[in-house]
Amino acid sequence: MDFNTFFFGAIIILSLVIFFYIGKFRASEKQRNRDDRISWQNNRFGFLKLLIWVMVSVLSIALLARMFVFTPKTTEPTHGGEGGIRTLEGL
Amino acid sequence: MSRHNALRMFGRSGNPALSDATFRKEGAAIGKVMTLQGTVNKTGILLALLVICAFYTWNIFFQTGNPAAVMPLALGGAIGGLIFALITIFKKTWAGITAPIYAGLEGLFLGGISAIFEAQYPGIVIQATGLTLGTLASLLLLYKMGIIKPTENFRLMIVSATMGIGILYLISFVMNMFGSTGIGFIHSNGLFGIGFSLFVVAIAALNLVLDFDFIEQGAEQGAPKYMEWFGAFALMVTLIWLYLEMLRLLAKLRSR
Repeated sequence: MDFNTFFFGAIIILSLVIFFYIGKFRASEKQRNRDDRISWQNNRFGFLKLLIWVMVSVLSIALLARMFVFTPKTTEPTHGGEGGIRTLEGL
Repeated sequence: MSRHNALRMFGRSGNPALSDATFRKEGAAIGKVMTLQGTVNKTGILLALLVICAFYTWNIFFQTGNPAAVMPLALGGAIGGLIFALITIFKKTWAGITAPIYAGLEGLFLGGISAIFEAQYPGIVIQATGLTLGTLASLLLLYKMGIIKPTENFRLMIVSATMGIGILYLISFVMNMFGSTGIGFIHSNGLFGIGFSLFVVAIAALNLVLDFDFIEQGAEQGAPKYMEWFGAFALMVTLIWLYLEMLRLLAKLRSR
């Protein structure tokens, strides 16, 4: 076992022990008794829903544009033998 | 009226829709409530599932030595994982079924990608795993001790940065679709590329603090039992993102 494996392996084991042991205890009073805590409303990914709709819309438009507007077109080979150059029509 | 009495009476926000009872309503109706111990156990189950599935694709790669052999599984895992993540986000009550499937599929993806990185940069996977879990444990300690205090402003900052990164990746992906090289600097191993990766790693890590706070408040306010799976799922999403960004950062550093 080399030093890299030993060192990072030890970090992994120690971190997992800390997570599984400390994770089950409640946070300190200082953390819990604040008046500026986040109001989660039962929703961790509220913002992500908006981002997902934006991403799905943009990707759909990009995919349709790629399929129907920016279709790669192969030019006919010339007699000089330098054919097969792919161009993007419309760019 | 003391501050605590005022909080007890009116809640932490002036908006009645944002009161402490938001989590409690559903939990009380079902009877069983979310606990910290339950969420930690479920995170353990999801981590175990992820590692088992990752070993499967990892072994396929090192037995065949061919990246093409793991690509269908890795891509299938990535796309399937995305679909099940969306289902979990939009339908939280199904998290008990969809979160383990998500973890398994992401395991297939991470196993394949990790094996490809490991073949190129030996020892990188254990470094990325160690740094990811080390960050998780350190931030959990800082959160539990009250050293890092997530507030609405903190959330606003992290969420804005996360959305910005998401939009930047989206633009880069769309540009690649049209044959452009994309936003080159975010993938480069120059100083700017490494700086960008460090920024993304920091934002991914701070998302863990939001996950801890979400889980802590859910357990405190008696959220329903299925929220244990949802909390564990939220933690897994952030951990997987952090691990991938650590891999990218280490690969950039090693390729210089």
